[in-house]
Amino acid sequence: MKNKKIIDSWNKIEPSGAANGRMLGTILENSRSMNAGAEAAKGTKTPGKRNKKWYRWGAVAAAFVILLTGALTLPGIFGTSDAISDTGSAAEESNKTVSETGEKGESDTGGIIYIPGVVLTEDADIETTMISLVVYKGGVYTDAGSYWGEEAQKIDALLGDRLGYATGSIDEWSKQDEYSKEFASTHAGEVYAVKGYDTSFRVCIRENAVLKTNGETILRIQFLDRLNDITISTGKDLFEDRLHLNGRVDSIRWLTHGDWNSANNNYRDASFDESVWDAFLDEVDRGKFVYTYSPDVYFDDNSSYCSFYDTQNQAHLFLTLVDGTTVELRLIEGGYVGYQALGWYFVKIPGEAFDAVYDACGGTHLTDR
Amino acid sequence: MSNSLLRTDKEIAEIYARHSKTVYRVCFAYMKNSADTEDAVQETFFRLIKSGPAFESEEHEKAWLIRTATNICKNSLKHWWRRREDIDSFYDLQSPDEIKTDDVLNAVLALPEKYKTVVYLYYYEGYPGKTIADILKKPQSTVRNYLREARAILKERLGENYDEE
Repeated sequence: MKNKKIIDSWNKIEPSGAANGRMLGTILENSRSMNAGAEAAKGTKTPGKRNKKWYRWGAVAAAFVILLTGALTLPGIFGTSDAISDTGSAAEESNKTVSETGEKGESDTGGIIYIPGVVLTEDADIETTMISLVVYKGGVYTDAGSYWGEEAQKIDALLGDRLGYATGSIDEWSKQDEYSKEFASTHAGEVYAVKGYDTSFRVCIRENAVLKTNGETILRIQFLDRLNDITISTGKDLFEDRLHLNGRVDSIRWLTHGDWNSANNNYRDASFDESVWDAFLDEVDRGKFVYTYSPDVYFDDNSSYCSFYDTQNQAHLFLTLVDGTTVELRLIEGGYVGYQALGWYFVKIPGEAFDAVYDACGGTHLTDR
Repeated sequence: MSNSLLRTDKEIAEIYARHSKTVYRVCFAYMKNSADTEDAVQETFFRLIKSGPAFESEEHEKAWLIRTATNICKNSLKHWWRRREDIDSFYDLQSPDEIKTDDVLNAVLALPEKYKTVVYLYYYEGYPGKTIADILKKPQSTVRNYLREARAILKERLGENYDEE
């Protein structure tokens, strides 16, 4: 007999009437757009698919919904396989990477990689991608993590010069020229420099976010990094020249890939010699960047998919620096070390230095990936 | 059953009425909150509208939706832009539609991803292993292993709350 308690518990999960109405309404609207697009003459612009996504920052909801019609694509950084294949982004053209097997591919660019700038397309078929960003001195800075409450109070001491006010003006109706307006952003707040980091790389938005539950305010500081429209070559260009990791890592925690994927906060402290970490970081600084994007391959019946990031053989490191900030690294079996905020670009380092850290931080070598 | 790639509002609403709870429950098992679950449910039906497969039966239709919902949720959870915020350290998102969970459900929701849909289909939908294997396009042995491993985890976490009756 099946476990009645599990069945009874699951019975509690069902959408409210209001939720049903919302979902069905959006679905039907999408269907009408699709039908209108299919029947419309060529050259007639189809309405953008509205794919509203609620971005769960944890304490603040409605103010941070990022809703984009058309599509915001960050070629070479974020994006879906549909986006890349349908639009033929500049990144795909300049960073030919996908191997014939559809697994991780590496670019052969002579070790120099240009990450293109943010581009907004108007292709209605492209799935919208959710991104938090601010425009500063013509550059687009994208989300690199947030600090809340007590954590934010500590980070507050790092705030440098006030640079301006983020307008929160970018929404689903924004056109490409919105992205050229200084301090245009997806949510509002005071923009500051972060001490110890060049403003050509990092700024932050500081705000008192209002909790939906009780109206209480909580301090939030969001870091935003400029990781597009830049040229990088070795890991040093990012991990040292921008993030300044050498000699500044105070502690390291890690999550297994399973926990990371399930948002289970089972952090564990890394326990390896400092010499192991130093050797690892040396190799990371020397390592060449490779562009690892590979499209998700869906079989015809949507039964399964695979991409570079589907492997279970990953490790997730959280470096706490001496200034109290956190840097998240993603390690993928085979020597790939990536900065979580950067996306598809990894440095590849030799096995011995890589495995010493990877294995000590929950990394696996499963053959059934 | 419509064979057209373009479905009418009525057809879509009927499919939604038939399977929305199932899709919602599958999505909630991964996303764990109502807001993200709604997004995933919508995305599942967007795929249905876009792909427009012709279904042989309502069971075929349901199986397709379950598989698609599962893939969408897994894909969403692993995408670069999805942050793993430590929301337990401060106030959680609460909307009027937020689902209230209990210890038993929390234990199920905390299972590793690969077990979730199998557990849902077995316990809630009451499908036998072979049917689950057909729905998810996985070997029967894999489904058996997932169930066995999931049961072991649930037994450990739920203790006396977990009994096969």
